[in-house]
Amino acid sequence: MHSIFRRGLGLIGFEDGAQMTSKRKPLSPGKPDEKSLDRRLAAARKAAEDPRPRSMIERSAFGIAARLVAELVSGLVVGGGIGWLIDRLFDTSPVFLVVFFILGATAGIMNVFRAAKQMNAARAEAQEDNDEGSARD
Amino acid sequence: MRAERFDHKGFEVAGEHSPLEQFEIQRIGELHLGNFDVSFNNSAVFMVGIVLFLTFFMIGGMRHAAMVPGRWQSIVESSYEFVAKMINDTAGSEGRKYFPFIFTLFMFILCANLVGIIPYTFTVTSHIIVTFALAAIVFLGVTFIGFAKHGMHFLKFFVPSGVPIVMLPLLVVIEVISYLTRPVSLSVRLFANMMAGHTMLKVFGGFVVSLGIAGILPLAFIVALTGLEIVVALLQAYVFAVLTCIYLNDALHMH
Repeated sequence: MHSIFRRGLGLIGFEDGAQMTSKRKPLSPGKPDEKSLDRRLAAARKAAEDPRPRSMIERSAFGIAARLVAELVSGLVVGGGIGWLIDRLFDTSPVFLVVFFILGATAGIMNVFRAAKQMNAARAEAQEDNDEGSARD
Repeated sequence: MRAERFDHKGFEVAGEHSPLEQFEIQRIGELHLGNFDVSFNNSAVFMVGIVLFLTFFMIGGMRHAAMVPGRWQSIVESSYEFVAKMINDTAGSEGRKYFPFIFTLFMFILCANLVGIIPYTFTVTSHIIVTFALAAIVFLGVTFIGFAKHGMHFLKFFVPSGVPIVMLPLLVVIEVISYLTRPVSLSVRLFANMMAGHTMLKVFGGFVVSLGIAGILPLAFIVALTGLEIVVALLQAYVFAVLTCIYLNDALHMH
């Protein structure tokens, strides 16, 4: 009877059913904790010495999309706005509006490219940092 | 009958149960300076409240500063360290001089974003005029610092290197426009994120009521969405501050 009980306990996960009633051993002090502390200390020291910015900007896809759209749209808005103002000042409508709208679009696209480049650089840096070789997408 | 309301100029404003009602400015008392309507409003109440709260929070946390910080003190200290590290990383040691401004900016935006998540509060940063004013201060300040530090050499910032002379005038104009887009994209990003998130919350809140018992599904979604909103609030405050640092770095070191 007793042995069946023991085996049953073994089946559901207690390696030694008999020990179940005894007090749980305290977590072994010393070695493992010290190791993890050393590891964390080393990581913190490395991070403190590293002068590169730890950029966490726009990790999510939505963040990237919002950023790029904001860059493009603000280029158009600023370009169009400048053109409209010049036209209003010199009564040349719509010459400058058209010209500056196109220039603004160019500036916007340029900003998008710059932002994308910067994001790629940040991602490459992050990839470099965790050299465990996580899956690339 | 549909309830329609109009503001003092006769424009239709959002209805009582519209998801956009939360963004409405309500005047508290009348105050006119010349031709300007400078009445105190709900947005201003929240701004003043946030400033008072932050002052209390920072001073209160450090009042009984101990070697081993308590909970309150350690929140204050870690926010200090977070911003100090951010400035050091992005703008270098020369940027440390501007710590008070950037810290104030970051804490104000962060607090405004987080307060806005609490139901029945007003989200100051969901109005583009507020975010644009903040971005304009940053933009003008950074440009001023650039000229103060480099004099007229700062104009070289707009001249890309290694370009044929024929293309130069066109590219300089484009560079100037691209520089001028900074305050716009900075403010639009914060404002759009805050407004989109809060509108979405209210829209799903409307579904909860109208779907009856099945409303439990949108309710669950709102819970998840609120979590996301907290992340967005933190992230957008961080993005605003970090971009300020990057612009500051450009002005200080001219890359």
